[in-house]
Amino acid sequence: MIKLEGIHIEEVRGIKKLDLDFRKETFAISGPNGSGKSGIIDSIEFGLTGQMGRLMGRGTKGLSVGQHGPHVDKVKFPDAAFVRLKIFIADLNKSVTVTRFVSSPKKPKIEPDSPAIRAALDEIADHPEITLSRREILRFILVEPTKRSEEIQTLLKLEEIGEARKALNTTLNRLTSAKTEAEGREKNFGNALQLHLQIPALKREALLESVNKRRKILGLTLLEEWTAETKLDEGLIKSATAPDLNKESARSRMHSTQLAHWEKQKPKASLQTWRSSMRTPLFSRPCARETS
Amino acid sequence: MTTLYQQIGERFLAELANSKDVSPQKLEALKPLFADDKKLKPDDLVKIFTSAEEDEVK
Repeated sequence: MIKLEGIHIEEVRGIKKLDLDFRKETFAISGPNGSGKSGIIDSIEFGLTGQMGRLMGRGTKGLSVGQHGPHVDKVKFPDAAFVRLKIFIADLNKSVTVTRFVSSPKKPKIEPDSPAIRAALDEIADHPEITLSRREILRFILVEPTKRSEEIQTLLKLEEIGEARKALNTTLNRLTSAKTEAEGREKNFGNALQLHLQIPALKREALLESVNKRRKILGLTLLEEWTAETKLDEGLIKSATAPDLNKESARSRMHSTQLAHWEKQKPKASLQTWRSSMRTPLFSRPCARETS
Repeated sequence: MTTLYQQIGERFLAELANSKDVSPQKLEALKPLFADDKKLKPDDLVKIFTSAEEDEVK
């Protein structure tokens, strides 16, 4: 637990220069619109965490501490904007001064500095929900009940948890549909295999027996085990290579076969025509219908 | 000091570690995804959970 002792604000948000003494007590800030009440809250939060809650979360896209933290007169001089916050850390029983510049919000000057003090400040920085804006409080009050849990997430700056939950749900849906699809394919492939091999059930022994029966007919080596890497047609492709083709021999045999067939079917005059046509190159030869 | 998001992530991973459905390899691959500075993406999760491992296909 910490208590605020005092704060010095310079060129932050709407405040040019301001010193406040909180005396470790509970306090309230009041004033007319635009007097800088929210600027003080922003400065306290910035001093403690290096962030400004009002510049984060829903509807604040494009806003940043670096560009929107400094006073409007010092937008181009973020080095001039800083907060010096004096706090009392009850657990350590120590007063600590934290000076934080808008130009380097993650590198505060801590006096005195020690690992225990830094750990205490880190814990505060991990809980940006320490400040709530009026807008956030009003939104929570007005939101419809069904969206209240979502609003609590926003309020406590837990959007990343909500996003992670959405990502996990999306993953679950995608994996579930992929599983259903895979199961369907497995079933179809299993049925096809079972039908093809003519076996009553997809049992390893029955599969091996049926496949080996066919492999034996083909003269292939028998499979001894059935694993995910087993190829049922192993050895079949290698032995089924096409024999070398002697083109001249094939052409001669085709010629004599067709000639014998033609002699039986056509008169001699036509045979002469056919013989002469066979001597012409293949690409310039007219089609069969035209020659007949 | 861990954030609430980190605490939830650690708890989630611890529960997965006790599950028989998630292998140690998958668990190791999941851990970086739950790092505080990363946004969890469904594509990354799907990739991990659909990757086949040597001992999965029997």
